[in-house]
Amino acid sequence: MSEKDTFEFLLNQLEIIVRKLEEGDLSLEESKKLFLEGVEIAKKCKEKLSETKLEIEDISKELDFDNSI
Amino acid sequence: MVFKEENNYSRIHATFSVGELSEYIKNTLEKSSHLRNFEVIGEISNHFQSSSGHNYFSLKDEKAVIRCVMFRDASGIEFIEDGQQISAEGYVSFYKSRGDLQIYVNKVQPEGIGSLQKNFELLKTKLESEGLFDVSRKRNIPQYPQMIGIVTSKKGSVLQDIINIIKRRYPLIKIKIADTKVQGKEAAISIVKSIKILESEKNIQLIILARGGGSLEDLWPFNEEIVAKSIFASKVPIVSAVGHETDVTISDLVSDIRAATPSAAAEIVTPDIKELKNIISQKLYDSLNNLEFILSKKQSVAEITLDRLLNNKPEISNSENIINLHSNSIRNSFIQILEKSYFQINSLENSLRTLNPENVLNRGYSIVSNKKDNQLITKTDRLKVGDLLSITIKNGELEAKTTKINNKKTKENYE
Repeated sequence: MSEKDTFEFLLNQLEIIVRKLEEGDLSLEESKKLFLEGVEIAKKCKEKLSETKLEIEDISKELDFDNSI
Repeated sequence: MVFKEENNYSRIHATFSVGELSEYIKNTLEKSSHLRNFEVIGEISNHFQSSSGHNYFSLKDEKAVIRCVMFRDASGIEFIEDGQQISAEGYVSFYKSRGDLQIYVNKVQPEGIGSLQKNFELLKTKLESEGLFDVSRKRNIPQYPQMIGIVTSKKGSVLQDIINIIKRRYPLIKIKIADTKVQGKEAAISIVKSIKILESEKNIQLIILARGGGSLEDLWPFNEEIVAKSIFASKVPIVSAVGHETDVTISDLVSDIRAATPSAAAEIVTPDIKELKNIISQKLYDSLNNLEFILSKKQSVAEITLDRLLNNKPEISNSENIINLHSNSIRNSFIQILEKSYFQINSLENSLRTLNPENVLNRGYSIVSNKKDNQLITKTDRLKVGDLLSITIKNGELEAKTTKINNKKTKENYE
C-alpha cells in the first residue's frame, strides 16, 4: 500500500482543503473545485473505514524454527 | 478383601490383594482432611520435566524425603529448580501402579514471604538507576497505525479480546501475532524472542505485550531483567498490558506506554472509527459553509460593481438603449452564473445528507464542542477543568461545565 492510499494521508488532505477554504481568498471556481475534491476524499475515507477488513497473520511458525535468541 | 473382627487372638486384622491394599491406602489418605489441602516447606531435588510438561521432583529436609508431582498448568512452575527452597500447596495421594506415595502440587512459591516482592524492588531500583524507566525515552505511537505486533499466548482470551476491540474500533490495521509463553520457566526467553522477531518485521509500528491477570508468581516473567532489557532495546514502541489494573510489572515501567489491561491497550493503539466518521462529516460541513460564504461574498462584490456600472452610464441618449440592453444581458448572465453555482451547491448538499451528523444525533449520540473556540472535543488533552462545553443533541443545545477529566491513558505517554 503506497502512502497515498493510507487513511492518515487522506484525512490530512481533507484537513488541508478545509483550511484553504477557511482562508476564503480563492476564486469561486477554485473553491468549488476544492470542495468537490474534499467530497471525493471524504468519500474515500469513509469507504476505507467501512470496507477495510482486519488482517491477521500468525508469525509463530518462524518462532518455532528459531531456537536461539 | 477380608476384615476380621478385632480380638486378642489374631494378629492379622485384614487380608488384601496388592490392588486392594493400594486402593485402601489411597482411600485412607484421601479421606484425611489435613492431607487433602496443605502447605509443605522443603528443598527441591531430583527435578525432572516430562515431555508433556509435567514436573516430577522430591521435597526434602534433614529428616525425610517425599515425592512430588506438579502438572504443567500448576502455578509457580518457574520456581522448580534443584536446591530451591519452596513452599508447596497440594494434597497427598497414592499412585497405585507404581506404589508411590506423592504430593500432588497445585502451587509453588519460593520460601520466605515476600521474597518475590523483594526481588522486584531490587530489580526496579537497579533498572531505574540505569535509566530504563526514563520518561524522556518514552516514544509516541502513531495516531493511525497500519501494522502492529502482538506478543501474547494464543491460548486464553486475551488475544481474542484485543482482536475484537481492534476489529470494532479500527479495522484498517494488519496484526502480526507471535505466539508466546507468558507463564512458567521458559516464558521470559519466549517473550524476548517474540519481541525480537516482531520488531524486525518490516513496517511494524508498535508491539503490544499482553497477558491476562494472575498472581505475582504468574506474572513473574514480566519482572525479569532480560525481558526489561529487550523492551528497552526494541526498535519500535512497546505497549505493555500485563494483568489487571492494579498489577504493575517491570515490563510496564520500561515500556513506552503502560495500559491498565490488554483491552485498554487495544483501545490506546487505535482511533475510534465512529469518531473518525463524525470528524470527516464535520470537515465536509465546514467546507460547505466556507464555500457558501465565499459565494455570498463574491455575489455582493459583483452586485455592487454592477450597480456602479449601471448608475454611471454615460448621458448620451442614443446609446442609452444599447447600454441598457448590454447591462441587462450582463445582469442576466451574472444571475445565471449565480443560479448555476447555487444549484450545484444545493445538489452537493443533498449528496452530503447521508453524511449528516444529525443522523447520528437522532440515534441518541451528542456532539461536544469547546464553547471557547467551537472545536469539537474528541480527546481530553485540550480540555481543562472549568472549561465550558456546548453539547448538541437531537433537538437543541446544552451548555455544560467540565468538572472532572478522567483520562483513559497515561497522560505523559500518549497524545
